[in-house]
Amino acid sequence: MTETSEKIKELAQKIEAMKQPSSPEKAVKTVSLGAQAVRICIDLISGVIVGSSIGYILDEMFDFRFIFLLIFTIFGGAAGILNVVRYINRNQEHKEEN
Amino acid sequence: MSDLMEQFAIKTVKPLELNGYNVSFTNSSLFMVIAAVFIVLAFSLCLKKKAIIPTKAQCIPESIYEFIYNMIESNIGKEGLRYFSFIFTLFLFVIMGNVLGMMPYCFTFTSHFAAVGALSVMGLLFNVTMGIKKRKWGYFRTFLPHGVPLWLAPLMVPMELISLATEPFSLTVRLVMNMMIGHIILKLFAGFIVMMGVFGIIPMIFDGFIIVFELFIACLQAYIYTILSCIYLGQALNGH
Repeated sequence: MTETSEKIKELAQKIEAMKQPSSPEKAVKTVSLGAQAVRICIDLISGVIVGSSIGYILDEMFDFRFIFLLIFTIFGGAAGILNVVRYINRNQEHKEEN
Repeated sequence: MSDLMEQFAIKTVKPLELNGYNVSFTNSSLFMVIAAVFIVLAFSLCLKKKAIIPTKAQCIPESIYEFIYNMIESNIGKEGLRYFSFIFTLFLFVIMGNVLGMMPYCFTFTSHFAAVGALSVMGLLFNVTMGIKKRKWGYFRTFLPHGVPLWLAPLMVPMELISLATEPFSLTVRLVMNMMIGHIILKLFAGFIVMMGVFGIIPMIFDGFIIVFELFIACLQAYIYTILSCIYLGQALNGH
């Protein structure tokens, strides 16, 4: 009888554990340093590429030589750094929470 | 050794033209259709016999459903479940594209910037639309975060706009590069099998390991793509 009640208790605990929303972020949190470095690199580079592309298109549209390209490349670089800072801050917050 | 990039070549299956634009049905489009049809068929077959105590076949779609449900709940919150169908479809489409590409004679449409880029841009447009729908004008506060002085607006707003535009770009680059590099390495080692003759067994064993690893990467990248889409949707709905 006690064995059955213990099994029921165990099952109830398992059900409770299953009810807790599993956090997929945890998997992302525990990614290797290499994966984090790749993500940071992609974020940095994509900022510059997107910024310079916007600048290039604006230059073509308004028939300027390279003014928009220059301005938006700088903005893109800054946006990339902003994304990286946000990502690192978020990671830091998660680490502190744990 | 044959051209390593040949496997990514877009071939026209049915030539089509619309207002002077080439909108041909290509091998990429064909495999997208195959992926979508396969998902629908597999889910229909698995869920044919609905039982309270699920059968083995029923467990597969149910566990995927639960996995995505938990992902949305922990990243966006309960209100994010309204967008469940979008995230669920996105995950299945990307994972099917990645895994389908691992099959012999199949084309990996997720290794193309155009296909994944279009998907990511649609995702961004969806996020922006839902953000505006939920927060109205408040959504535009995202571009000038709280605590930032107004005189910094000319610098902050373009930076935030570019930051928003980099979301689909980084999503696309991550997925496309992973799929492309994996397939190139696979073909490279496959080429060595033929070239090395009897000793081709060595690259063949190595290729076997890479196939298993690449399958894992295919699933992992679909997961990362979906979870990042979830995070971006959550940011659009709730702010940074």
